[in-house]
Amino acid sequence: MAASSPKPTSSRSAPDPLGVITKAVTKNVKRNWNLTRHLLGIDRAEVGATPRDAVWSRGKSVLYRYRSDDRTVRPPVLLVMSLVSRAYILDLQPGNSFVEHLRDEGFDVFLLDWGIPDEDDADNTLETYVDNHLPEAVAVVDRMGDGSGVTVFGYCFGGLLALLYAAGHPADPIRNLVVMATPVDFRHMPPAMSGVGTAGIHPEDVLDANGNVPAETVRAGFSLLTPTADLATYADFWERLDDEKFLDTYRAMTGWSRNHIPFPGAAFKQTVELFNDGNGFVNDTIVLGGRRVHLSDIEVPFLNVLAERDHIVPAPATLPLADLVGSEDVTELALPAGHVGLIVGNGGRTRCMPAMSGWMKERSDVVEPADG
Amino acid sequence: MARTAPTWRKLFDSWEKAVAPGLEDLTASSEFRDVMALVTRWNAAMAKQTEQASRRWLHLWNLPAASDVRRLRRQISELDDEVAALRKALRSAVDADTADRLLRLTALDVDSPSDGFVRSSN
Repeated sequence: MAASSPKPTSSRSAPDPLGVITKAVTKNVKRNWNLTRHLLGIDRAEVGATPRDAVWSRGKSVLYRYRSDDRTVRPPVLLVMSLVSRAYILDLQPGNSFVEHLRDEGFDVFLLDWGIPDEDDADNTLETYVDNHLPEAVAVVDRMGDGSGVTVFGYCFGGLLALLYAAGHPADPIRNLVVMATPVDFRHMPPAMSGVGTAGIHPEDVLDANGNVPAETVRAGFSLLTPTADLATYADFWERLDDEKFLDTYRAMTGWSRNHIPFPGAAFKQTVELFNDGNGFVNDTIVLGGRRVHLSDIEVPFLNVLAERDHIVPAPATLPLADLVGSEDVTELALPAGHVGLIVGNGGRTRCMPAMSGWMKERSDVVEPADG
Repeated sequence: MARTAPTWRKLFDSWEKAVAPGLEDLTASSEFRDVMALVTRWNAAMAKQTEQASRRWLHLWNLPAASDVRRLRRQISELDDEVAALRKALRSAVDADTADRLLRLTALDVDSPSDGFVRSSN
């Protein structure tokens, strides 16, 4: 006689009341604990954690080189950051970092961080960065990369600086030029960005006693683009208060997006005059340091990366770039991301970063690993 | 497992969907820009008047005002830039060894903390 088998249990068993209560209590305890820690500022996001060394500085600008034992790609990459945002967005968190991605792909990664300007820097013009700091930093990177040239990579306003530099210094050792979410046609910039100038707010009225645009004003400008975004961020926080992983990224991202830096006054006034009022790239009217600067003088391999959902630098503001540069090797990469999503988050990690590093790698040499 | 949004969140999202486009249009309008221009001009004028009054008061007691300190710092900063430019010009004019020797002699040493240093960060 066959042994009797146990009766199959129903897959839709009634919920265990004790289990439901335990789960709810655990969740609420976790939420309250996380909220308390957040309010007390106990938890701080670990940002910009990839090991690096400062290898050069001038004024507030510091050039960092990221450590690696596996530098197999030449030339090195120099990341050029915007003047109004903290540079650590490029190296946000371990596992969520553009710098880390490039380093792991074998690149020798450098970052030019402009620092936080104060009254000493109020007279810094675009020439200070484009004609003084950038050429010196590029020379250092080129020297440290064994003279193989430099791939210059500019993000947002850093891209604008990289364009001005590359156009004004065509003899410098630039091997490739990449700009990401970089404004070129200022007629398509949102009014909150382009509203300063002859048509609206006078640039002098925006400067503080130090002679710079205060960080709060920079932040307010960004907030005006999406007035309800801050509230939505708080809603996300409240909804996912029990999700540790989310909270960690939340702290890192909100810390960055609410922590802008002052815009040096002289450079700001020049930006308004050259771009907001003059639309200098498109009209080819840029004069820096007493000499004309033409984007058509850029002849190195060129990649323009634009984010399709960018609300800060909309795609039409960056699209004309491909036709304005003089390079024969021009690539335009439109990625399904927002302004920051290009280099942060799942989409950035799985789609955007590999596409950009792939383009750079195709135009680089693979060499034997050198000592880090 | 996908999270199900709680009711309050669904309500918030509906509210945001209804309100956000209008607010974005408002902040992008020329009227809003004109109001912002007026507000910033008024703010700047108020800040200037307050600064002038406090400066006069401090000067009355022979005390330096923040603007005096700022002016001095800017002058020092300009001097720094001039030194950097001189250093650069010297290096491009003569060979590296001679330049370094001259820079040391003139106290524009290459190892000054404001230029060319190397240190660990992390």
